[in-house]
Amino acid sequence: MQNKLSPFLKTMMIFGYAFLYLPILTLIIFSFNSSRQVTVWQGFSTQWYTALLQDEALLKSLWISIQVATSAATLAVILGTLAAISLVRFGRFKGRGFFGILTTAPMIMPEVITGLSLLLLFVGLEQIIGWPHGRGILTITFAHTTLCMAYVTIIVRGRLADMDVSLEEAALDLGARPIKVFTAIILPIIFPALLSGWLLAFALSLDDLVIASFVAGPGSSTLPMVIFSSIRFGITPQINALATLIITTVAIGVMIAGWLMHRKK
Amino acid sequence: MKQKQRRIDLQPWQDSKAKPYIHLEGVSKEFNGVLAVDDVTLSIFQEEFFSLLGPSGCGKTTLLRMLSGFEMPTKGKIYIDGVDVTRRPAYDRPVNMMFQSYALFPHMTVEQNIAFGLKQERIPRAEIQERVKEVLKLVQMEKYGSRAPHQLSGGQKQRVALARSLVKRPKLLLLDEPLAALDKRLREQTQFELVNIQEKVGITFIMVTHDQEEAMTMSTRLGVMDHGRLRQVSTPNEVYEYPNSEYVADFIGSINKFEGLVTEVDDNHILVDSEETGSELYVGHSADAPVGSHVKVAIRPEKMMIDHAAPNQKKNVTKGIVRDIGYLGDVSIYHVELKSGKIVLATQPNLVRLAERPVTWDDTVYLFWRAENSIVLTA
Repeated sequence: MQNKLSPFLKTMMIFGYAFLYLPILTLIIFSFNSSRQVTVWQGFSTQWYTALLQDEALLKSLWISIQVATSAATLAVILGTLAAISLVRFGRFKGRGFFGILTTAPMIMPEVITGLSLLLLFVGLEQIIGWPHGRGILTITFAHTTLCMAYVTIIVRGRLADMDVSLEEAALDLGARPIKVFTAIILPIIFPALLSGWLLAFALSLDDLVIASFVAGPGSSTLPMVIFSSIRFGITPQINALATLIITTVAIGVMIAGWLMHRKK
Repeated sequence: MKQKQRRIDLQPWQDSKAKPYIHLEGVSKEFNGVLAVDDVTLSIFQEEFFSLLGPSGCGKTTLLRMLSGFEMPTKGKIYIDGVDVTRRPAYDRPVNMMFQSYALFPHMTVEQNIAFGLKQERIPRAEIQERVKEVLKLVQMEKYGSRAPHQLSGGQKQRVALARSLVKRPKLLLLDEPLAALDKRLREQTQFELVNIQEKVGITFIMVTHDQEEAMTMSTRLGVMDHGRLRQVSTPNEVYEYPNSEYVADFIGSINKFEGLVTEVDDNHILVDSEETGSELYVGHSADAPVGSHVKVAIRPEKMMIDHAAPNQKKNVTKGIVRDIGYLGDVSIYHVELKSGKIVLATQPNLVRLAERPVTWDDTVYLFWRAENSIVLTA
């Protein structure tokens, strides 16, 4: 097979990648800018990284975001996997189609509506049963779990549908009880899907501004909320520095995950 | 048909006092109002290699899945070694299954795959290791214990799957189309190996297959299924030579059938007058067919003799023109058109080379057969 690309394809490819990655590259470069101006290059400096480490409000919001994303992703993986298993492996129970639509609905629902309806739910619940008390990290976590679970369900569902049912039957046949079949056979086989579901859920939660804005309470602003509100007072290169750190972390995480999955194959 | 000569020549099904090892009593299975298995009663004896044979959708796989515990019968009972297992789940039956897809756990090595079943029984580790080794030796895979399933060829996977289902020493081993995924040459070789292993371990095997040659070669007895019902249960030889119905006769091998009217019946013969052959057909055994009834007389193609000269017999003979010759190397199949327009198949071994063959296209030939080689089909 010839691997040579035509000039047209080459140009398209370069433009495509430039479109995707040039903004990120600019962001990284300007995080090392010594100027206060975000768009004017003055010289190399790491002062914004130092400033970042001293910005307690920003660091606090980052910590909140990580807490929320970790618990929301974990909850979403647990619930999403259960939903996927009941959809794929429990035959055609009554209401299966409806359940399938319900689990994926948060994905297509406008975030404004999800956020608003969850806010109303939390307020209503507090009035009726007194829980959750106020709004904060807990409510954001629940809201993000709702959103992320839809994605996890779809990923795990696809993986389960690809899995040969006779593997489970073989395990049953060899004397393993259903719980054992789940832990010894199903879980290890769908683990890559769980991992990618978790990573996606984590990223979605870390990224969300709209839903979090609805269900957050005082003192529980997430990172995107703090960044967004800081724009009103003019953006500082400190944000660039933070974004660079996040991108680096994510890139390393993705590379490790990719390497792990490749090694397993 | 080639059949492996079995070491055990005992025939427990002939002995009325023999106790069946596996017994199905009026087993039926319904899926959404459709009967997949319809009132099957069947006894299988210890150390038998029993085959369930039939076209796809005949219910043979459903029957196997009820034996393994993956499906529960709608009606009827299943006994294994005298114990009613009808309602027992799959993990609580002395039955193991070898799956068509082999179903090897992709995240475990060959050894771990085989040890999985033993681990569920909480057998000490040393004994597990010993038994895994032993069974790997049995299937000649000692060197592959630490391989992952995706590093094995189809034939090797098949061996590992067999080892995994044998290692628990089940009372009954079920095989779902065990050789379907192998190529023809490997399949033929594996057929004999599988039978040898079965004889060595002495476990009762029930195999599902749609390949009649496979069933004939490997089984002590076979059951032909159609639309959820067992049509005939007998030895391969019996099913081939004495099919009890047109369905069975057609399903196993090919057969020529002539319609006719019974003109004479007694204890050792039947005389049938057939318009299709334009002659009288003399069948050398009796059947439940009164004089005047319509029956079919059937003769296997390889039992047909073919010659230019008229044979020295007036009955069981017909005449036609050779329309086609199928050359298969070892045998040729002659398609002979009778006066009535009916096409009759006659198989002849190629004793001489193709060019010297005495009978060729458009020859007028006589077809004839011995009285004991034809059968009467009433159903």
